[in-house]
Amino acid sequence: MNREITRWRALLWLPVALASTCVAAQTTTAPPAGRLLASNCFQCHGYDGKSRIGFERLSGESSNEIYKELREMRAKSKPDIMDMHARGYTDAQMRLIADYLATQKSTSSTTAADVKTSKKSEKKESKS
Amino acid sequence: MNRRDFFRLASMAGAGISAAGLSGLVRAATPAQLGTVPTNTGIKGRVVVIGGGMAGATVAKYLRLWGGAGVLVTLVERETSYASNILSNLVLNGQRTMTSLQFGYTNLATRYGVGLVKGDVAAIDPVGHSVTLADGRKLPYDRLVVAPGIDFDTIPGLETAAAQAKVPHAWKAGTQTTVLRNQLLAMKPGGVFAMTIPAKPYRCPPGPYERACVVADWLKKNRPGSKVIVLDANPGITAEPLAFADAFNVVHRGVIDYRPGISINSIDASTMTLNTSAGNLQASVINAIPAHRAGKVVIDNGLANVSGRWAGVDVLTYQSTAAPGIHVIGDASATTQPKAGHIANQEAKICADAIVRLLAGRSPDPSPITNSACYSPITSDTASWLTAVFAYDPVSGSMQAVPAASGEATARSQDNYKEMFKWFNALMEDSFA
Repeated sequence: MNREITRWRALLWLPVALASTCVAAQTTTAPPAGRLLASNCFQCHGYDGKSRIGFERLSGESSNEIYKELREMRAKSKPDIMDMHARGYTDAQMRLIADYLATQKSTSSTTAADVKTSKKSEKKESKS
Repeated sequence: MNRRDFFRLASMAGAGISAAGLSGLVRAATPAQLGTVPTNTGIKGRVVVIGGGMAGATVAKYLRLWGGAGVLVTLVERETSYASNILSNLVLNGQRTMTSLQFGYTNLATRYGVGLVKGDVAAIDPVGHSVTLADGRKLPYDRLVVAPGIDFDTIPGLETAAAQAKVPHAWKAGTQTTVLRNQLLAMKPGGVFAMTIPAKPYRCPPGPYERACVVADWLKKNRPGSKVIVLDANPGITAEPLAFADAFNVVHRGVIDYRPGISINSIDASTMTLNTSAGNLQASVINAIPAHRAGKVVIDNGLANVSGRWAGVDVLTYQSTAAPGIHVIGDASATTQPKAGHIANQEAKICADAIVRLLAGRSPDPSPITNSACYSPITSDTASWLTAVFAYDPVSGSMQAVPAASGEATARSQDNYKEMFKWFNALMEDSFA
């Protein structure tokens, strides 16, 4: 156990040690546009929209798909929770959110098939 | 940061991790859907976070995810895990256990490299930029985030620990939640459960009404003939007025007796009597929620510059209006937004983004948006919901609710009840996992 603890501690701080020696000369890049706005989605749709236990997964969709869905939700006459939510964002903000989420590629364990399955089960569940 | 500082911080964080418990460190690899800390942002700084609730845990995680490995984050927390207030009303009707509402800090350490320090804060030195802990340890910082949540006023008559144990608020999930559950179990048919709601602002606006509903629903089935008397210091229902009016007047008609505009003068725990602005009232169980103020560390360190209770902040950065370099997020800050876990999570992201930008010599995002969502159980299998979106208004310098995006469900439903758990799990993952 003690050896394990030491190993974990060392691993934990490895990135910090690397960073503090390697990056001194680098200049920083600006945060991606739309990231902070899109983070309003993460509470329910997972980090960068890569939901695994929450609501519909957003990463893997195109910017136009996300933008279109948000605009459709905003226009619904009998709004559900997400439809109501969508009314809080302007077209320009929706576009920024959609563009950011669309750049968050599916990870190795998140295949296109997974995304489809997840969406299907999501729809099924919301009807039940 | 020089080498000495780095090792000092690293060793302190290491000590904190061992104190927080190591069993969770040996676990499966991080799921690929969760983010990883980038190593090449070029941004450097030391950030100390005081308080590991919804706001504090989220800001620690996102400072690392967005700031990268050069942003050293140390989370100071006195408990080994966080007890969720959200869903804690379901402990009262036996649908959840307190154990199921505990969230540890191991993920923040192992997945994101957040340094954990278990301890109490003795003092903040805003000039020297350091935090001194009760045991004498000193944590230097470039930016400090204070997220202690709330503390309670003392209701006259409830000064002793014994009186407080007999008349629990259970408004900070934990021992008192279990005490209140046991008091409910000990009630006899035909009993009176009296609860009091403080004047705004208080934590979780729909929460007390939700509690009245959950308790009434349980009493109907398990202690027939009992009543829930709700004494509200506010002039009316402060959140989800449609859902709760329906709950009080239709769903739980004859069980919930809602009385607005009533304040509490004192409570006598020995005779179980409330002295109120509308006379005396005796009850079998009294659940008195006192008025709130920001957590002690905010009050003690001169940060409570709004009515002496709350921390004034600039909502573009959540930087204190009393002390530069110190940010206050979550329930302890004075903003136009509700004091609730979902919005605390989003405030934390705005704060993390702003700190990362400031450390890189940039300006904060000039037009942030926050959101709030929550589900409120009305019975043991139906729930309502509310949502709100707030946008920065440069004229008033405050977050203003977007009217079209602020509202509640038209009717309670079983689907809402099921979605409530999905929302809860995802929100807690975003904050703690």
